[in-house]
Amino acid sequence: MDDIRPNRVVAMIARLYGWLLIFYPASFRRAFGMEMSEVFANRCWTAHSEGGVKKLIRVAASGLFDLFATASAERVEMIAARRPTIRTRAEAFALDASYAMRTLVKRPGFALMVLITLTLAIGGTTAIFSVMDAALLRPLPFRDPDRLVTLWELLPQGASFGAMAGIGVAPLNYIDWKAQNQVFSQMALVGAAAPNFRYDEGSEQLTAERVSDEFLTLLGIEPSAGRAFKRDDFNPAAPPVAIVSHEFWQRRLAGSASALGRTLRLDNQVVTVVGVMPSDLNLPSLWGRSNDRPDLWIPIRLTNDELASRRHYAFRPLARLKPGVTLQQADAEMAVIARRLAAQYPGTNTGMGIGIVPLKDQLFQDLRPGLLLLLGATSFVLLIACVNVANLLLVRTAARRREIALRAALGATRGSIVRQLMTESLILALGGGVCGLLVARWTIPVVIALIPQDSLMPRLAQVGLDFRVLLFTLAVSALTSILFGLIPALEAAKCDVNDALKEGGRSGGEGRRSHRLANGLVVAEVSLALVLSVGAGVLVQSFRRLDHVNPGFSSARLLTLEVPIPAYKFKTEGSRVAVYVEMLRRVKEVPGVVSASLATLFPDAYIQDCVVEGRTIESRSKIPQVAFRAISSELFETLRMPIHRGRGLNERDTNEKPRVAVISERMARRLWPGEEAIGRRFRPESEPKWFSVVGVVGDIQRKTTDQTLPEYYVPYTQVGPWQVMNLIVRTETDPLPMAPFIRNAVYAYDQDIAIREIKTVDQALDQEAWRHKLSALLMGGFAGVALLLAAAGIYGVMSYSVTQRTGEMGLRLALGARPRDVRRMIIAKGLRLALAGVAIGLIVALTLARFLSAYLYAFRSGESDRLALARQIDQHSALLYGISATDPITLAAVSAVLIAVALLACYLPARRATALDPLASLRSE
Amino acid sequence: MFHILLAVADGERHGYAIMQEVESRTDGEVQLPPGTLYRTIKLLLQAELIERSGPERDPLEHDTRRVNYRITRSGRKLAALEASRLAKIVALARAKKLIPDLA
Repeated sequence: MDDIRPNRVVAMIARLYGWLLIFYPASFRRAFGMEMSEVFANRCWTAHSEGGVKKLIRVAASGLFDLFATASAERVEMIAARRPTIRTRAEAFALDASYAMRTLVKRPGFALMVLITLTLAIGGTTAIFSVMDAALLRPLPFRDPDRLVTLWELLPQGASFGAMAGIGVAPLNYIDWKAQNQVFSQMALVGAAAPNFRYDEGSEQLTAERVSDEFLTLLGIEPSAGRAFKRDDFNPAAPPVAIVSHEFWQRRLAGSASALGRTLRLDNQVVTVVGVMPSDLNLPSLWGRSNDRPDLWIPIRLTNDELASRRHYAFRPLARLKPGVTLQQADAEMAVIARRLAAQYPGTNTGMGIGIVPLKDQLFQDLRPGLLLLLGATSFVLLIACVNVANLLLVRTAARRREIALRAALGATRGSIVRQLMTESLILALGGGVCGLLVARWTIPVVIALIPQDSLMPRLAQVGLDFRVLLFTLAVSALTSILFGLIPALEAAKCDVNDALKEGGRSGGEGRRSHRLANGLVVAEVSLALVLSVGAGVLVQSFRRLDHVNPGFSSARLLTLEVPIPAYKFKTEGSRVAVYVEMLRRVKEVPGVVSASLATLFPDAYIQDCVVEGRTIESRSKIPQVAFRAISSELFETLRMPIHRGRGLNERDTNEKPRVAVISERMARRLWPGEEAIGRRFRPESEPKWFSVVGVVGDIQRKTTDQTLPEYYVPYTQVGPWQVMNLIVRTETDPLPMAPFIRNAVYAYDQDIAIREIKTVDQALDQEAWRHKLSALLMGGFAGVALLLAAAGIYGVMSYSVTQRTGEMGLRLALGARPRDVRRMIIAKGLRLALAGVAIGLIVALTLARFLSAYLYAFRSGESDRLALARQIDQHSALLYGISATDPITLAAVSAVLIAVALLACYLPARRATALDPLASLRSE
Repeated sequence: MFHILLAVADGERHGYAIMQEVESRTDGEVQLPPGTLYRTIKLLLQAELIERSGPERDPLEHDTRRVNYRITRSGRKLAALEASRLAKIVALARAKKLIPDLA
């Protein structure tokens, strides 16, 4: 026993030593490893037999220690020994680079052409990337933002038109969701408020968000000054408090530290400022007007009204997914809860679903298709540029065959020749990258200028050239240099020394091969340019159609102003009607005002479900949705909308009279197809009282790609005036300068009415089309650049190949061929290439159009993927309007243009070649 | 390094024998654990002061035949030079009466 155990211990230690040899560099291990293990084992045996376990331990320990010490020494030496090779490589690169610089400088025309091409392409890509980076790629400024979601109530299947599948959430439902779910670690409720802020010189309507006490911790944000909300602040009896935005703090509280503790008069309440949000928060309003940034946050205190019905869809819950819970799991769980609530409250919750939308998607979904499309377009331009430069390089390496062959003959290896040529490419690409950055610097402000300030474009201010963008440009440049440099370089290195040096290097086998390559590049270029131009053509046409949409009324010289009536001051409907009547009277008296009227929203509209009298509802999914506006009777006159049948609204349609409505042609067609609509009755699904149709007017067409809903108009006096109405004023002259006078007239009447959102109707209509305008302009620009590049590339290759064949043509001419025939031959060849390119391009374009169709057209929902649809709620507008991505006219026109460019590119060199004296061209060799 | 050179000066030895020789000659004062031993052997081989003798071992096969090391001509020359340099230093020390004269 005593004998065996030490044996095994020694064997184990020896084996351990053998494993640890891995610390040595491989070469050392190979040379001595086995001997070392032997020596070590022997030493251990001896030590044990001489001095027992004690000595064994000492020897083994010293052996192991020694192993680590010498192994690291070996490694250090190896690295030290390697450094000279790095140095020599750097020297070789410097040598290559200086040689490359010299060659490039020798042909400045070539270098300049390549540089311009690359600058345009890399510059465009960088500019679009930096916008996209700021908008989409950078994480939201919250804790663990990818797990944040918003919740929506989903209307019953099929009850939705276009983008209106999901709506706000009723607090009662929210409370149940919160209590019953197991998938969210935290939930918070957000509601909107628009308090009127009175200050010494006037009043202003603020954008406020009512938030529950989990809101701040859920997002992981804290006020930069002052305190967060306390639980007490949510107590209805507690004094009201608010946290203000950094922007509001600067604007109205002079950015001073003494602002904390100051009181604000909001509506009829006195609210104490307890905190200021960080300046970089930049959080768009999560509920309420989607493009506003809140001025302040106040603790939510749900009123009895809000807790009365499960139909009070006016809030937006935020939630954080528990770690490890996927969106699908959350969907499944919430679907169960929705069904349970539907069984419990059939009157209100039947058919209602729960939608979960990642916060990021909700904020950015809108921009994604457009930006991705643009990035795709810039990538195409970049590719075309690469093909172009590859072409140029190919032509040039062909011309440099002798030089390269000479270098090979003098002992340059194929690798070193490729390296030399790649160095040239890299220098060109980096040059292009640097110039591209400059171009991007000038382009970015232009792109930003095209985006309206109040669009939901997040973090617009942060768009710019920063480290990430620099890195991106560097990567793109490097990639580009490989893309355009590698093929020509490999091609050049294949060159046969003997052949090339012999007799001026007439094109033999390689010549034909590089011809094939050049031809392939031309085909690629034509097809890329085609795809891009088709895209641009379609987008530009779509935008033009959108821009020239006839709105259905005379939109010139119309001004809209938003007029909120402070509810605390005018509590009854009657008093509100009186305010609006008097206000309208005063505005009409302002000199220069032709006509004025009121509408709940304009050109926007509210949307509701609609029930037709005498028609049974087969299923909730069949309930039509309509848009409506509560208006004052003069609206049609102000807008100059013709009444097609029946009558308009007038002052006699008051609250005491039966309710009446004027409907649009589209509504008449859709609800009473083939019948007379006038005299029929309908009602909103949520109200018991019927509206009688008394007239039919034309449709209003807006500049969006969203599906247009049927519309109807009711007297605001009959539905109780909204707290916020829009004043629509037709003026004699340019409307905007009239705005201050109108504002003064209102202000003189009541100082607590804070007019806001002043713009012309044309502006409001255009604003809806800004995204299309941006895409169309940028895509048009890119397509223009692409066409230019492609034309230059095709011309370059054609003229090169024609020049190469000058001798052959001279021979043909000398043998009696007519110049016309020779020209025709050359042009036919070019045409073949162009046609091949067009054919491939068309296939790619059609495939892409199919692939992207979800983004391109106003989206239609299948019954089955309602939840997928919920993910895109309210955020998704199509890119195209009134035109198909595979519009045959556009396809044909673009193809024709490209073929024409190709023909021209062949014709010019062909004419030059055939104009030569046959003898001279024969001698040109 | 000098010790190893001396250990193989009077005939070829394998690694373990070199180690034993050095340790016994110095009464255990100089310990040569395997790492140090073979790092030194590597340097001596690179400088061509010693050379391998005996069969080449295949590192992949588990070949247990021992590799011997022997001194080369330049190794011998260098050892002699170093020895005489040391001898001179010792003689100097002796002349200064730092150590007793054994002769």
